[in-house]
Amino acid sequence: MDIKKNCSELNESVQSSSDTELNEIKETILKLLSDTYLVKDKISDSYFYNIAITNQKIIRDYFSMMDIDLILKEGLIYIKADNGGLRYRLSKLETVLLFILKLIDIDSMIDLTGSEPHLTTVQSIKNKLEASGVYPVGKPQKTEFIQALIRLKRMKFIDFKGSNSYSIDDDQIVNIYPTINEIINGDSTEIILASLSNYKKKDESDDEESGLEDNEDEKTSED
Amino acid sequence: MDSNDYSYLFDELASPKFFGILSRNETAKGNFFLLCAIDDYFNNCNKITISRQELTDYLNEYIRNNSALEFDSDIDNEDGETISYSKSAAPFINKLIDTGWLIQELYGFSQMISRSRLFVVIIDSLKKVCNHSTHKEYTSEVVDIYHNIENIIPFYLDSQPKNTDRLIGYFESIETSIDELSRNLQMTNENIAAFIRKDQKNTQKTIEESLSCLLNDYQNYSDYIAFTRLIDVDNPDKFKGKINEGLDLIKSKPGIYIDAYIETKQKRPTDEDFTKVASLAEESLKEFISKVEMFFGNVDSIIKQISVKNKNYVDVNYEKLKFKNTGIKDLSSQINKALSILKNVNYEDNPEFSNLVEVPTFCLLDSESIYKPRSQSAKAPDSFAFTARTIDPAILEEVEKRNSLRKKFNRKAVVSFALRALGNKETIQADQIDINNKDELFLLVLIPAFARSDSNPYKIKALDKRFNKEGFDLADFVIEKENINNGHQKELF
Repeated sequence: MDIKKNCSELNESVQSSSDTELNEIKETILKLLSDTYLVKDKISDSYFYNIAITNQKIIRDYFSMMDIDLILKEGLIYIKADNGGLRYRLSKLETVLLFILKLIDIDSMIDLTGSEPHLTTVQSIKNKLEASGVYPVGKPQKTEFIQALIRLKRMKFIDFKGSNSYSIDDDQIVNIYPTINEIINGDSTEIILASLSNYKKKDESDDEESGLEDNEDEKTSED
Repeated sequence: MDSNDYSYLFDELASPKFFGILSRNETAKGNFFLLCAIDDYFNNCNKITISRQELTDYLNEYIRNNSALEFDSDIDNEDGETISYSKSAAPFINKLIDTGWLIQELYGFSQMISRSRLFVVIIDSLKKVCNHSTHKEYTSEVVDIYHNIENIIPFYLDSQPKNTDRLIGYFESIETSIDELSRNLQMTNENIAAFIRKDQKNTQKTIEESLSCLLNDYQNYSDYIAFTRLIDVDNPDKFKGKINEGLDLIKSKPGIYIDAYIETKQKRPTDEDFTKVASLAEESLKEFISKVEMFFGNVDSIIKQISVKNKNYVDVNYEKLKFKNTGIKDLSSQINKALSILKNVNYEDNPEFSNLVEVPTFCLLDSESIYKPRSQSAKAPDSFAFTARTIDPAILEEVEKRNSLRKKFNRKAVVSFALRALGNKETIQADQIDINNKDELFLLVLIPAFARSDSNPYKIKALDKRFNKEGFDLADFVIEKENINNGHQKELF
């Protein structure tokens, strides 16, 4: 990547922009660095999203000097570092919830007659989680479940009103943002499945090994 | 219009069963079709009355051509019994006459049938609800308002009105056009909503059908066409400037309208009290201005409302179609597979699982983070230098003195003194207790202070007299032993 070229292009763009524009761009860059994702439909993001769309050249040039890509998707803008960058590792519950939210989103899109796409309720997520059978009955507990939803909200996968288990009831509408498509898509699911099936095999092989050891023990005791 | 005006409708109903014709589920549809057929026949003949025979022949022909039609053919006789007839026009016509939809009159020897006033009004309205075949155009109404305002302006620019009747006519015409336009806009809004609701109800649609509905049915839907014209050709905004200019003129010279109103009223035969005409004219002008202003103020919001509905419908269908067309079902099955594996393996036992899904981020902190910055821990010194500390003996003595005082007069000491004073007695009066020194006097004074506690082995009864001990004047009291709380006594001693 030609840093010098990018720098001179950035310089030209900066020279041709007004002070107000530059201030807006600065705010948007800071917002992108703090939030990573800007969602068009999120009220607090829409202002920055529009600025990012209209000034994408200058913002792209700015980030490209640090080897960071500015990626534009339908209703979503985000930054991505090619050389690693920070990662937030999702817990099991968050991972399962993300899968379930994606399934709900797909269902809402396939059903041409249903309500608006990308919308669901806390109750629907609960029902789908129960139906998946990943957790035993009564688990996860309400607080744990809501906390996981709140974390997904902070990462801008979803949005809903309220910020604790007291203010979030089952009828609460949950908006699923396009951010989810960047994490759970055809390619990523294949990788996840491959890792998961490896672990499963490992479990089975552990069992087999332990089974053999047991048999040997039995043999020695018989002797 | 107050409620008394509305009640007139029920006075006009010839039969309480008038609306029953359209309310029985199984036959309501057939009845409505026949009523429409009768209405069409009257309109086509351009006659007010037709002979009963002519109508019967026409309806029989209509029923023969629409044999699947289910309609009312039973009639209540004079005894209140319901008699069912074969499916023919005659009993249906009789029913319509009985219920007040049709009026039968005798002209000479022939029976003549005419439609009742309610028939004409109601069937006309119901037909309008169903009729989507013609494209609505708002141009005529908006342009009418515009032209009428244009015609009014010269009356206000010249000092003398040319023709008062014409001026009032323009005002009335504007009001009529606004009413009509407002009703049509509401209807367009409702019709588009009804189309969307109907489309959403159909659950068995394929991609092709959905696409056809969006691109053909919806685009050719008369109300959608009317709406697109409304935001383009018929947009009221185009005429707003001139209309506002006219309104400002009308407001600036209210006298012209009021004079014209009074003059017109005097010309027309009316029962109105002419002393009140001036105030009526003023009210009428105010009403007119507020109506026009309100309409042009609200028209934007109505258009926006329709626009939002339209955009949502198109967006939702577009997104769903696009999504359905990308064969995304594979992703669903992959996710379900992943979930079933997660169900069977223990996530926590596999540390590798924590890398399963990673969300790229540039900042792990935000305003909602519960993160607390780590404080720098103090570095331990390489060696400790101990210094001997000496305490001032005077302070030490003072501390010990205070400690002994505290012990001397604590609860334990007071209770012990009280019990010692009681000895084997059940009660003792305070003035009878022997005091050997000042410490004991203080303990005596403190006895009532600790007596309130439930766990105390004695209780106090105050006496209404005083006594003197060691030169101190004290309130007398009786100490009574309580033997129940032995446990507490044990605890205390």
